This record gives sequence, C-alpha cells and structure tokens, in this order.
Amino acid sequence: MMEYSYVINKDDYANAGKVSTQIKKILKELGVPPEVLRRMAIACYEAEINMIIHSYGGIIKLSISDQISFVFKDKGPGIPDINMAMQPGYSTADDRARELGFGAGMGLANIKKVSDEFDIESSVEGTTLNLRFNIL
Amino acid sequence: MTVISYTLEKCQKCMKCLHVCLTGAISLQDARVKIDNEKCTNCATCIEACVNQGLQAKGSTLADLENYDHTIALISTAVLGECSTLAQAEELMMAIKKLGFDEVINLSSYDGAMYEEMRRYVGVNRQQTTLVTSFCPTINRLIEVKYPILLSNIVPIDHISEVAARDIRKRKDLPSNTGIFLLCECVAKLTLAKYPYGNKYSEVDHAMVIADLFPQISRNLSSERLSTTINEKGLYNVTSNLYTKGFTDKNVVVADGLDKVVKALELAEFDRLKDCDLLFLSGCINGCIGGNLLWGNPFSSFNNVRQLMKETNDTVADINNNDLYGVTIASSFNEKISLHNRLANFIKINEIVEKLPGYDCGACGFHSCRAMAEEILADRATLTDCRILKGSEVNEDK
Repeated sequence: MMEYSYVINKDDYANAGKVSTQIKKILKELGVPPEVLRRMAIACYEAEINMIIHSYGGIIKLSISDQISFVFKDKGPGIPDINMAMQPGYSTADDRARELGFGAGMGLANIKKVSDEFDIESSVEGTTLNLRFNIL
Repeated sequence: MTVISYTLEKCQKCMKCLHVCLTGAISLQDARVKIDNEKCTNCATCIEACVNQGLQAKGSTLADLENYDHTIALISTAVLGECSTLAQAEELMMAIKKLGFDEVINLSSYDGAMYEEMRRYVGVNRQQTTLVTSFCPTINRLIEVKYPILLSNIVPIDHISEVAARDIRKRKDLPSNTGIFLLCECVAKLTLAKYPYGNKYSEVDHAMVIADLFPQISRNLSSERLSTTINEKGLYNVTSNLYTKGFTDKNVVVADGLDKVVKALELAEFDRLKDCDLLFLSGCINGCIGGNLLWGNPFSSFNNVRQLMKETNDTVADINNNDLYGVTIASSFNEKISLHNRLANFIKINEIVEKLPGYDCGACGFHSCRAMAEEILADRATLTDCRILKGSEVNEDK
C-alpha cells in the first residue's frame, strides 16, 4: 500500500490542476491501463477544482494497493443538497469561477460517471468524497 | 525506433541532450550516450542541443539512386516554404531533378487531399472526445510513450508520404524497379522510409535529409524550371498559422512546438479541451515549415508561404478516401505485465527513490532519480553512483 497526501487551499486558482497533474504522473509511473488512467485523471481533476472553488480547503489522499482510492476531504462549508449538486448542469459557482471557465455544473455528476465506486458525505463541517477504481 | 546516430569521438559528455529529452530516452552509460528506442520520439531536441555534432540524423544518399531503373523524388510540402514564388519553387524542383531523379513530385496536392479529408472526418466523427491530428510522427510517438490516454483520439489518417507513394505505385506506366525517395524536412519523417532505417512496411524506399542535399541543390539552381502546381490547402496542412482557415465552422486548437504540444496534451488528458473539435499538433514551430532539416527558418518560411499562396490552385490529388487511412500507432502499454507485478515493482522503485536526493541532476548519467532507481533495481547501478550522495558521505546501510 502506498499513500500520498496533498493540501488544497481555498480559492487557489493559480495552482488549479497541479495536484491532479502530479497524481496523473504517479499513476503513469505505476503503469495503469490507459482506459482507467483516463477516468482517474478526469475524476481527480474535477474533484480538485471543486475543492478550490467551493470549499474552505482540504486534503487529497491517493492510496495505491490492489485498487486505487482517492479521498477528497475538505473543511466545509458542506453541500446543502447533495442530490441537487449531483444533477448535471446544476452549479453554485460564483462569477469569478465561471469567468475562469470553471463551474459548468458537471463536476460531481461527471466524477460519479467515471468512478467505479463513488461515495459522498457532507455536513457543515465539511465534505468527504471517496472514489475507488479497480485496476486488477 | 530512433534514427538518431551517435559519434563517440565528437561527444563532449556535456549531457545537454540528456536534460532536454522530453521522454527521458537518453542516458550516459559507460561514458557513451545511449538512446532508448522504446522511448525516443525522434523530435530532434537532442540534436539541436548537441554542441559538437555528436548526435545526428542520417538519411540515404544520392548513391542509392543507382540501385533503381527509375527514381522519383517526393518533395515534402514544407520544403516549398523555402520559396516565395511559384517560379522559385519550379526552379528548386528542377535543381532537385538534376541531382539525378527521373521525376520530382511535390506533395502539396496530397497534403491538400489530406486536409480536405480531415475536415470531412472531423465533421462526421466528432463525438465526445477531442480529435488529434496524426501527420506528425513525433507527436504520434509522444502520445504513444507519454500520453497513452489520448491514443484513441488520434485521427487514423496515414502519413502523407505513404499515401503519395502508395498512389504512385498504382500507376500502370511505372517501371518495375522504381525507387521512391522522400526528401525530408524533419528527423521524424526520416523514420518513415524503408531505408536507411529498415521499416518493413513503408511504401517509400529511401528517406533523405534535405539539408544534406542543399549544397548540391544550390549549385544546380538556375532559371530552368520544372513545371508544377502548388495546392493551397496543402500549404494549410503544413503551416500552423493557416491550418484553421478551412475549419470555419469548427473549433480547432493549434499547438506548434513541443512546449505548446505538451501543454495541450496535459490539458487534453484531463478532458479540458473538450470544447475543441480538433487539436492540431506539430512538434516543429509554425508547423512542418519549421522542420529542423530545412535551411530556412520557421518565421521566414511562414512569410514565404503567405507570398506563395497567391500562386496556388485548388486541385487536390485524386485519391480514394480509404487510401488516405492506415496510420498504425500501437499502444506501448504492455498487457503481459500483470498489475500485481507492476505494483510490486512500483513499490520497490519508490523505496529506492526515497533514498535518492530527488534533484534529477543527471550527474549519474540518468535523466532523473527515478530512472536511476530503476537501474539500481535492475542491478545496473548502485546508490554509490549518485554524485550527490557520494558528496555527502554515502551511508551504505541507509
């Protein structure tokens, strides 16, 4: 089992995608099949951007064993209505995020679509997104 | 397969090549530069970085013409970027013919056909993903080696020299022992021919470095011309600044030069370019007209092409659309290695990486600490080969 941990800061648009790029590099070094790699890259990127736009910051954890799991854990403010947030096109992103080309409201729905297992929990204390991908 | 050859006597062991290589294909072992064929993309960045001509690409020579009863020179459309008028292009082609070729054909009408087919293909096949152009052999290799996610995005249109040679071989009047020679503007295109590199399936017999022929071409130049036509869309196909011209109803992103290409590929892997219908990727600056084996430069070539556009026609080569396809880009992903083994290997390499300083300085002869760790795992190197660790007293037990 190998674990990697990264800190994500609120509103850190300047570094958006950097953690996902590092994770993508690690997964390439491991040598996962391109089809799974593609899905993991997209999910990780979307979730990282979500964290930057919507949360007060948090951490991303990558665990590599017989399967690959991601934990995206933020410090709040939580998602008031997860079902609503899962709807494609639904977005609470502010104008700034939209100006930068983010916040189209496809994030969570997209992540769920590409993940093998998807699990989300949210309260005002924070949101935790668990993703798993089968590689064996 | 790499077409880049190494001359030990000229190598200063400065390791500039090792540092500039995009795919980490170069290492210095036993005081020699080694290029890993599995990783090399023939982008020629190392050749450009080499200060003493230790690394060079070599093509076939004019002596090879003697093996054939009939010889045809295919002139890459990019070579026309050396000319700013049709008259100059015709003089250039005559000068090339005088090198000893029976026929000289410029590929612009084939490039034009390819351009039109690309437009059609994008219109019909655009679905979820961004499509990627396939004309640049370096880009295809780069995707194969480093961006495997995007392999399925590549439009399977074949390399233009193969399409043209296949078409020419169908001619009924063609003598049986005909040699087709491609005069190349870049190192990557040298990889496509049978000789000197041994490709079994190429329709092109020999690839030649156009820059090597330049002194002779220059001497042959006169007011004598070989009548030809230049296809406008063929020029679009080799000029990144003109490529979008014919795609008025499509969103085409152009990335020329490897820096831009890498940026675009990284974004495309995250599906961040999904609004873009087609990604035009060229390893050379300004497209093929920026080929590193031309004697001009990407910027003056672009000005030339703009002048040349005034004297073009719009007749593309008459090729069956199916004959335009066939580029084969294999996935370098080896399915025979189980993921269990990959994982075990990955963990072992990471354990060694942890012991190395992580500067990727290259002083050990490998391009990164990770590459060094792979060598240590394979018993081809030891921790004591690390200059940094050695400098700060290697703890053998560490």
